[in-house]
Amino acid sequence: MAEQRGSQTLRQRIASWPLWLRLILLVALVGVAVLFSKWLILLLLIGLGLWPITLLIGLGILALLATKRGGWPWMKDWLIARLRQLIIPALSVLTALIIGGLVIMFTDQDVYQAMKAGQVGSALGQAFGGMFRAYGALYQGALGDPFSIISSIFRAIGGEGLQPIITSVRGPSDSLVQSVPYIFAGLAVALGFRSGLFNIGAEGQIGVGWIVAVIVGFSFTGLPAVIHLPLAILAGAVAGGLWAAIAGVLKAKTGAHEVITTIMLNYISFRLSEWLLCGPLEFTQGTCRTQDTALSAYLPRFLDHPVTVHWGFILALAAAAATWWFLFKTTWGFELRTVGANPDAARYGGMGVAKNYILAMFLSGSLAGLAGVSQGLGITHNAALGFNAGYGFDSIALALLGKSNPVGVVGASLLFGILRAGAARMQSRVGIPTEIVQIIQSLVIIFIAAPAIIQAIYRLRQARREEAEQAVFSRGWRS
Amino acid sequence: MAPILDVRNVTKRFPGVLANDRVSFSLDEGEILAFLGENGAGKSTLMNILYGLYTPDEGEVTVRGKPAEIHEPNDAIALGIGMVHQHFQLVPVFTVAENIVMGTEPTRFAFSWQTMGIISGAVALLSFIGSIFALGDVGQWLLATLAGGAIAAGVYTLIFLLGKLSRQKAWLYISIVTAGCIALFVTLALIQEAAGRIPLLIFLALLFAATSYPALRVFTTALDRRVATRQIRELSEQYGLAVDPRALTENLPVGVQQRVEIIKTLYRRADILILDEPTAVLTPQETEELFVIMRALATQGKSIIFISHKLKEVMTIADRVVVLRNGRVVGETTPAESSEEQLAEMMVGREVMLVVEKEPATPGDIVLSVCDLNAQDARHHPVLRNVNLTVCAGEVLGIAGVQGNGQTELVEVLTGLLPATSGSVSILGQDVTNAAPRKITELGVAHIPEDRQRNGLVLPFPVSDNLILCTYYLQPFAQGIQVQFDRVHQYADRAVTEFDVRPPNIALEVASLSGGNQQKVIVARELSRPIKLLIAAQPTRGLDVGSIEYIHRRLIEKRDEGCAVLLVSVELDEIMALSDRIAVMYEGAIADTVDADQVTREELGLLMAGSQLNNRKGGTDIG
Repeated sequence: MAEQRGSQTLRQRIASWPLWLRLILLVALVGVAVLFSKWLILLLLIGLGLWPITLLIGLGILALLATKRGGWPWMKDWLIARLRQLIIPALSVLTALIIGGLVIMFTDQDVYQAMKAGQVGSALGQAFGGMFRAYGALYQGALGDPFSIISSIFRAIGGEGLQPIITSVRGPSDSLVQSVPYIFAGLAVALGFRSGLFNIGAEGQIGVGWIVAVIVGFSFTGLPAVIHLPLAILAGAVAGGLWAAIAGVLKAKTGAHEVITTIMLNYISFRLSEWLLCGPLEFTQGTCRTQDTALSAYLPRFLDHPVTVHWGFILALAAAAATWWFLFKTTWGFELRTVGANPDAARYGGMGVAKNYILAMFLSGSLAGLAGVSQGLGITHNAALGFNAGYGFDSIALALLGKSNPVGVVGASLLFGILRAGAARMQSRVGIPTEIVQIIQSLVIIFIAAPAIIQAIYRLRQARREEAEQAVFSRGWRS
Repeated sequence: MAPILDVRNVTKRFPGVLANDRVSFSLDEGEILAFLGENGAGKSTLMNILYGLYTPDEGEVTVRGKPAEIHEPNDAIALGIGMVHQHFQLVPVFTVAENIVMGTEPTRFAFSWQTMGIISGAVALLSFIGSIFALGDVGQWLLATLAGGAIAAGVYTLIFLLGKLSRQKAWLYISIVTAGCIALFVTLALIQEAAGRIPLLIFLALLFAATSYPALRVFTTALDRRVATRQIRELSEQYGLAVDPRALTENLPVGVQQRVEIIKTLYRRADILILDEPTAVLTPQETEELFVIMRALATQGKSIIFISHKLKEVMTIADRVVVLRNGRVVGETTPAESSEEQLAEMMVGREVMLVVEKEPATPGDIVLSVCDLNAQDARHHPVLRNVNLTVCAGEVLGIAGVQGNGQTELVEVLTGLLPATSGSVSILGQDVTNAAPRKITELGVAHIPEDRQRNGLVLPFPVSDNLILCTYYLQPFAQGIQVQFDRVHQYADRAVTEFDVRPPNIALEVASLSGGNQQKVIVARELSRPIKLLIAAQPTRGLDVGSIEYIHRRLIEKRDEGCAVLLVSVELDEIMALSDRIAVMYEGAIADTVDADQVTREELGLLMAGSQLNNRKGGTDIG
């Protein structure tokens, strides 16, 4: 809020410009961004890898802004307002990491061997060593090795080209790639929550979007990418949306609870995709996998191997911005939120409750479908059996973690992306199973869902607003 | 005589609010003490402290001369304090007796030698008869008979002991019974030299302990219920609280449910009764019945704390009145020593107009006309029967009636929320029967809904968003599909100032406002746009004197501007004060329509009870 009020003068000035000027400016900005996208992404990845430096720079910029707007008191208020929202999630993550660390320590066979041999000291050493090695690998896998990033920057300046930098930012890149489907799916569930709908069916909608986008991707050949790619994306989104809208229509027309119908639609879509992938769509006998899409339907990557960040990431950020705008700045979003918060009041206010349920389910399903699209067109370029890998179910947790706010969902998705990217490295380097990360993710969710635990551990004062927001989620279950 | 309850300097703080500030009062035996105060004056906080729902920050409570520590409702119940909440704490699908017994811990599953004798005698007889056929000689017959009787007596005693034990906490019961069983089984196993069976036996012991606990709870409760039913009968006769213990709670009228709550407190041996706004949900007749009961209770030595913000009731029933304002006791008086005006002034802190001043109406053209309207509820029961009425510009038509006689449904049909099955509704000459709510709103109809939290407001939304609930899609608030929140905020700031919503912060969630200010938000929203017809359903329900005065003035202002006003209220005083004409609803039909200045309270009361004015006999025993 404070930020918006502060920049109001600038916003008002821009708003007073004629529409054509604003449009041209927007197109020009987007054009420049596309032109330099490679460099922007590289900068983003380096910034993520060297996050302490990024944080410092951010604080510096804030301080610069603050000198114009009221100095330190303004900056303090701004920071406190932000930190207050972050404190529970941050402490939840910390606590989950600590407990996860204990699990790593005490599931290590070497530790037990040493214990049996009666060497308590060496057992403890083993335990702590194992945990630090594991978390070290997790960090490197997810955010890269900061020292190698810095040295690669100097090597690039010295004339060795970009390749060393690209190699060193593989970790941040993996994290971003992993977070893309999370962002889409998290937005899907969050939009549902805001509309009073518990969309459990993201998993199925992801699958539908994935398969349809891939079908469009390989069915057309010879189309230019400018047409083919948007077509495939759109097809996937609409397919996911329509699939979810079935549940919306059932709720609007018959009152069937969306939790039940979306779960059942999940099963139908799982079995249907199994039949499709091992049947009519199977390309090579016995693989249960479709043909690869045409190159024109690839979501392009920004940089060379091993950095796999693709345009899906930008799409995801754009979807988050669009969802935020839609929910909080438009009359349609106002209707959705009103229906979600109090359907009786919505009817009283002259809104069509049934219409809004269907619309909300469609939009939620389209976002989930886009999660599948981004994976299908950005990573695998085909659809194979068992492809949707739990993103849909994790997304419920993400919406919760992000408090159904698009910005929060992006943050939560980045966190989950980081954990997931790190987990792969942790397994390959130290041999800690990736499942440990699932334990950590689940703990984070438990702490977020029960903030009283965190408040009790860290002796925080009760945050009253949060309880009210929590109530919105639980309402989904009453009908 | 020492007071039965004495409260000294009780202070309770909530973040940012001083809910009770050094409140002191005392309550004598057999006294009815009324607490009067506006919403948010701290009455409920004080009562919740007495009932152990809150702990005071400072101050002390003395019950029967002894300092009392009340940390939870169980402490209060043990001290003989009972509370009847404004919202009843009853389970609708339970019977009256079940609701009353629910949660009471002391066992009434009494050990009786008589029952034991009958049971063991019967078993002994059976074993005797059985042994005649099965066994050879007389000695064996006798032995079998004795053994049968002894075993029956033993089992009876065991069940009694276990039943007694099952009144304890579950973990205690389970651990004791498990330990006992294990000891017994292990001894038996060792005697029989079957030590290998011990793990299995331990498992069986646990199983028995765990399953017998709920079984015994159900069994003993069932036995309790029989005793309880008898006791409830006794209690209801003693205090004149007519209730059928076997009736299902959900089928009972509100007034009777309240009696169930009162019996519940008496059943728990309360002699200090706290009634939190008991009349808010009652019809005038039910209120009078409640007052009779309260008198009966007081004469038999029960002390009653009666909370209300209705001056008339306090004047009628109370022995003594304590007035609270902003968490402080601002005065203590008796009805004999003061007047309604004085009490109102004490309560609000300024002079209050209890009478609505209004000029005679100057009715214009017909705005709303309803013709032979019929409607059904969700279960297809007819709720409106051939309703006919008209409302003209510049007049207030009051709809009187006991709650639940079709007023709610009438308003819903008129505003498009409930479909009519037949008949017609026309507004300003346009047929709007079963039109969409939005079309009706756009014709210039404003609706102050009966249940403001369910229909009228989106509680988690800020005040500003609630102010545009019906107009968010119109200029100037919307431009295309974008909501212009700058303009919304400007408008909301103005509306909040004009309608005196406190605190005047439009970013605040409506949920955090008091009831009166929530209602002002609705009134602000509905009266800020150009309207031709105002439908106000229970516009002052649950509000304090100050807010009621304000809303009444606004309604009359609208009337004088030439707006047609349809006022639905169960408060007879409100109907009589505001209406130009009064229609009385009874069982979904309009019983009669009368001129407001040619009818008395009593005549309206009779119409509300279903009798015709020219035939004043019978039919008054409602509720």
